[in-house]
Amino acid sequence: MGAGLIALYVAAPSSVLAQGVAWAVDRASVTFQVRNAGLAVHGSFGGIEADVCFDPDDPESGSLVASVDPATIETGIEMRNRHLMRRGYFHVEKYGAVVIRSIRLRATGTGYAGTFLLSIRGVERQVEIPFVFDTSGSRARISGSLTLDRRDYGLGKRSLILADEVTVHVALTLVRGAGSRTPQPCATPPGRGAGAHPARDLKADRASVRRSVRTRTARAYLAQRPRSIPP
Amino acid sequence: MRVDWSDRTSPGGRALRLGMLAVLLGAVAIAWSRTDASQPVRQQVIPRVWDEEALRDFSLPLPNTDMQVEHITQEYYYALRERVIHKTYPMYHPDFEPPGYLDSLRALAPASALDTDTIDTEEEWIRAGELVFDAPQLYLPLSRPFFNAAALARANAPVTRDGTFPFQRYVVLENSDVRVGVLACGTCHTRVMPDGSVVKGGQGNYPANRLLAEVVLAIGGEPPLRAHREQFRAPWIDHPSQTMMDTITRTRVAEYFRAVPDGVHTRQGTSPTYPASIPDLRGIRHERFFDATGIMQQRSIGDLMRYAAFNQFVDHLNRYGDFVPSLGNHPGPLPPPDSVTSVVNGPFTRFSDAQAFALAKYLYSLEPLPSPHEYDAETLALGERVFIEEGCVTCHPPPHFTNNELTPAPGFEPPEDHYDRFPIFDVSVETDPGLTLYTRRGTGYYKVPSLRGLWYRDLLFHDGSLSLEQVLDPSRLEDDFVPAGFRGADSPSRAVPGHPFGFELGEREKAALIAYLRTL
Repeated sequence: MGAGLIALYVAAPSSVLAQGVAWAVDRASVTFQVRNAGLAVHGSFGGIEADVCFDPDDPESGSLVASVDPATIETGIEMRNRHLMRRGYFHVEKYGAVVIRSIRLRATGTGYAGTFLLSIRGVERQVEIPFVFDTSGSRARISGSLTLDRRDYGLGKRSLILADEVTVHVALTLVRGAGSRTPQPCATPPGRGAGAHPARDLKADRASVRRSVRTRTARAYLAQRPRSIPP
Repeated sequence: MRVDWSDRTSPGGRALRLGMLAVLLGAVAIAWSRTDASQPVRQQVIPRVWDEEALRDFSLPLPNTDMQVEHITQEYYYALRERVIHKTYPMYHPDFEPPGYLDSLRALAPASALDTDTIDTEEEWIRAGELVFDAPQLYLPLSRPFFNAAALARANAPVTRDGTFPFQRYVVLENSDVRVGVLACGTCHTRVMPDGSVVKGGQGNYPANRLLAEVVLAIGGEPPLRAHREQFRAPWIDHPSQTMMDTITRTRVAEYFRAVPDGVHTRQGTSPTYPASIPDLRGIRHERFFDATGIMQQRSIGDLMRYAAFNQFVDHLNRYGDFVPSLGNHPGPLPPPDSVTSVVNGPFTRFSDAQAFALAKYLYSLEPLPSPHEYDAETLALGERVFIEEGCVTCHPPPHFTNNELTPAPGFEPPEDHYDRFPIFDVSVETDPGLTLYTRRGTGYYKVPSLRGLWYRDLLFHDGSLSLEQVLDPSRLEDDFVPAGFRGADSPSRAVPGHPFGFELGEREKAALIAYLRTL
């Protein structure tokens, strides 16, 4: 059950002189909810890495790339956590991080929405996520929700008791990049989201989980991205 | 007026055609509805017990070894002598035996209880299967001091309301020879409840190991130790629980046996150090695997028949490299089927396919009994909620309260191909791995058991260590914990790790969960 949904950061788009505004993540929360035998199970992820480049007045100039570590999944029951890390679900030994990256961001009548590519367990699918972005001086808050079918990503099998639909909530508190008082354009390639935050503390049991050397975090994805993306 | 039914336009013709159609449909409906138990079953194909194609993937591989288990051939199996299902008679506790009872039995002629050629309906197959279930495999003279009524009384074997021991029955052979029949399926798989009622197929409470301890001490010489090795030895396993059997004494064997409580048993292929909880057979048709270790699969009724055949000691003819349990180190061919014997139960015999089919039909007819326990709705609602919130429902989902999957024991990593072959819940619940890693019944796994019928089971976990309350008690992780069930021969206390659920529940939630579980 569960699917990582990642921080919504906006990274600079294609050109060397990037547009958008660079943000650093101050706090991040990625939680999910799924029904099991009729009752809601709540969980969360840590190990969030992200890059945000977003101008609320020019959303189409921005981009977001982020990842979350499924080996940090927490559902309140240790054995269930371990089960979800194994091959029937996230299979962390083989697949590593969950990654989301934006294709297009736009304004809507009530906020914003984005088209993203969500990659979980080696499966990449396009998803639509509405989100809100509120600013207050040099700080901002971005939040959004996504409902997906876990089986689309190979997360478990058909079950009489475990629902297929998982709802993921993301909430991020952002500060302007480099602590500047004025909006700064995103650099290319964008640096990683600045600062540690509580959600990045990994579970103590990581020593028992052998990580794949092919773990792809947001930073690794960004390092491989072409420097110039065609408009 | 004559109706022309071929006239599609005439009202009469249409009416007649409709009427004929109605009669035809009614006949079909009646035929379909006649599927009750009184209908003939003989046209069903009785599966062949020793089907080599079915046996190919029937058993799970041994753990942590490349060695393959070699079964006897189909030809060899069917050359074993077929059993006769004799008519049997109740065994009374000495305090309740009617005067002259045994003399009345001596006056009887031997009789067969079962002629499978005359069985026709589902009901008849089930009744026949109950006779097979109760049919002893071994007949002991009354003069033998073991396993007779007096021995069971000394062992405080439970007694039914009518004063009988339902685990064993008398058999009348030629020349008024009345014998004690033992080693029936029902010997171990019959439970006498505190009120004297009988649950056939339930977690048996026959005092098998206490009776065996008497036998081991009373019979001198080598045979008890040869029997011990035939029952339990697995020489490819390099573990103290195995190697100690080569030098064990009869006194020590008896100590191990006395440490095994009723409801748990050192059946063949386990070990005195790692016995197995006697399972509840009611609801067995819904199980994907047999035994706590999931040693054999159930893909059809034929597989249950095969499982029964193996457990009537035919598995003592398995070959594990050069080792054959009934023969020890024996690289050469097996003795001829008509002469191969076991120290444990004498000459090898087998079920006929029809007998095994009847037995399986009977076992399939057994469902867990409805619980007599009553609780208020609020308690049960809370208990069910706890059951879900604590994650129990993930492995124990309704309707059978098992997901029918295998969990790996600590120290066992499933081979890659197992994930395609078997349903594996690939997180260990970390219960003691001994039974599944250090015995002949080992697979490296434990199956997820069904929780139905918990109310009439005493002892839980694969080794019958714990009561239901103790499963949820975190103090069982401490070395000074006293298990309600199996403790081992060397200490009155020991930690019972694994399955760490429910430890942090409050008393109200715990009581509600236990109440809920007792209603399943």
